[in-house]
Amino acid sequence: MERFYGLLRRNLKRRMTDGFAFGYNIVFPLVLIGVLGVLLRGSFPEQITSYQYYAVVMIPFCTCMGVVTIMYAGKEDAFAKTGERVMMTPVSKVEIVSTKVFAGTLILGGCACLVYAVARGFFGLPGEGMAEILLFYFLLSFAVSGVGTFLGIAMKNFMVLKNVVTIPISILGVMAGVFFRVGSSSLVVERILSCSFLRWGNKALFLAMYDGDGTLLRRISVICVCIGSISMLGAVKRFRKEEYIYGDLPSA
Amino acid sequence: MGIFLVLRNNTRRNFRKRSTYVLFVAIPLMVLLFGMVSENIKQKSYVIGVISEQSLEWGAVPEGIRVVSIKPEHANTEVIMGNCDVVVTKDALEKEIQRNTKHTKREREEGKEKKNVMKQMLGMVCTVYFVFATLYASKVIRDKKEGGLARFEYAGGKRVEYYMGNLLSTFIVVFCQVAMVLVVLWMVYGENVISGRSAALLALCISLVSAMVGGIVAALAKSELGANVSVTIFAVLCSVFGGTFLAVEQMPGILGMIGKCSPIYWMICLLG
Repeated sequence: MERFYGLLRRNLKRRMTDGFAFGYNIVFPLVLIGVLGVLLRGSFPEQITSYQYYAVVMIPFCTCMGVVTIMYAGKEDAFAKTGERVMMTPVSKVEIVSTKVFAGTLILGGCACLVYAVARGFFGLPGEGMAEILLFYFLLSFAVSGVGTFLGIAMKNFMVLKNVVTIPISILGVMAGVFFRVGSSSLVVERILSCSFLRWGNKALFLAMYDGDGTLLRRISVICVCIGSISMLGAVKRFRKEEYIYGDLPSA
Repeated sequence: MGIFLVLRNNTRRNFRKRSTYVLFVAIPLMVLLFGMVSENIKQKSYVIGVISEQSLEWGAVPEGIRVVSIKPEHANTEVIMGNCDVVVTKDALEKEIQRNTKHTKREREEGKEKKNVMKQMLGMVCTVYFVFATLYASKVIRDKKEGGLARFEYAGGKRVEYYMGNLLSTFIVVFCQVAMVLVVLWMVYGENVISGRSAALLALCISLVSAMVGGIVAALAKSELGANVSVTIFAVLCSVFGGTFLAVEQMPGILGMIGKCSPIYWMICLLG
């Protein structure tokens, strides 16, 4: 356990000193909430203000975008040439992978909770189901960290993946109504839009906050735990010493 | 000569990875496809949600109005997410229909509507290419780290020549990709929405601006992660202020002025 805590502390320290993680997950969402809130303040129904809407949808979106920083975290030992030293110590690959996932979870989840607290204070987000919502942010972060670590540690074509991973997330974000509301009463269209997992997350958050119904949020939280766990196991299974130590070599 | 050597070498490197090249054409095409789909899925009628435990048939309603059943525990969420415009009880339905019959006929000028969607999509394509151009240009970061730039300087080349060559090679690869995307767009929408001349001009401008943004970000960034994150944030902000989501003319006060500084605004203006 001592080795686990040692590695976790080291990973947390690295994540905390990583300005990009904070920029992406605190500054970026707050700026977007402010800007889009001002620009589109007249185009929302009486149930919600534009600031509240963008606060709700922007936090999960930015948490998902954080997958890039987690992917790089998976390769940071190779980039910093410290992979060999880590491999010489008596730590198992389970410990290496899990500490990366948990450090990412704590930082991404912490950032999401901070943005939520600021949005609640400044824009008056309803306090309904707060505990469940905060837990959901951490579990979503767990899923994102799991997937990010898997992509960073276990995938050979990291150089290509790191370049394009944010684009599909942005498209799914647009389908989820992150930048403008995309709603439809048609069943077919709703099914197409439902392909975006972010849309489910947003719906669950709105239901919990504005209709007091946390059922969907709890279900999605369970799915997040499953995705995170499966990705973590996948990363452990596909962990390759050589890739971990020398994985910074470009393929082109 | 130095510029030409870097240009030739980096252009070869850019085109070597065919899968990446195809992906960088396919992703903007997916964005455009999404735009076309969203154009058809936009609510063309006023949707009234009626609180009801079961899904019911609502019979004949006036043109321009749709009535759908909404579960009582989802009432606020359906309105917030834009699935219906208003939620009423069964008793208030008749009154709501009468109240909205007159002003709900949303007659759309087909061409104008398509052009607006096209402007939005163009804004998104520009955003995507800002990121892609940076990814191509960030080769310079790797070359700095691995000593490629130092070797070039030992051989008598100047650092500025290296950056210029890299910028030009980025421009060439991005131009080829943007041109392919715009040709598809032109074929789908036709001359009414985008003329061949506008498409050519746009391809040139988008690739030039993207290559410059990518070149500058890559030259300033210390790591590839830094370049990646910085350009994503820059591109999204340019897109938001540049009129991708709300026309710059409709933005309040100073935000409208900021919007006019965004390169994406000027790209959208080229559409007319």
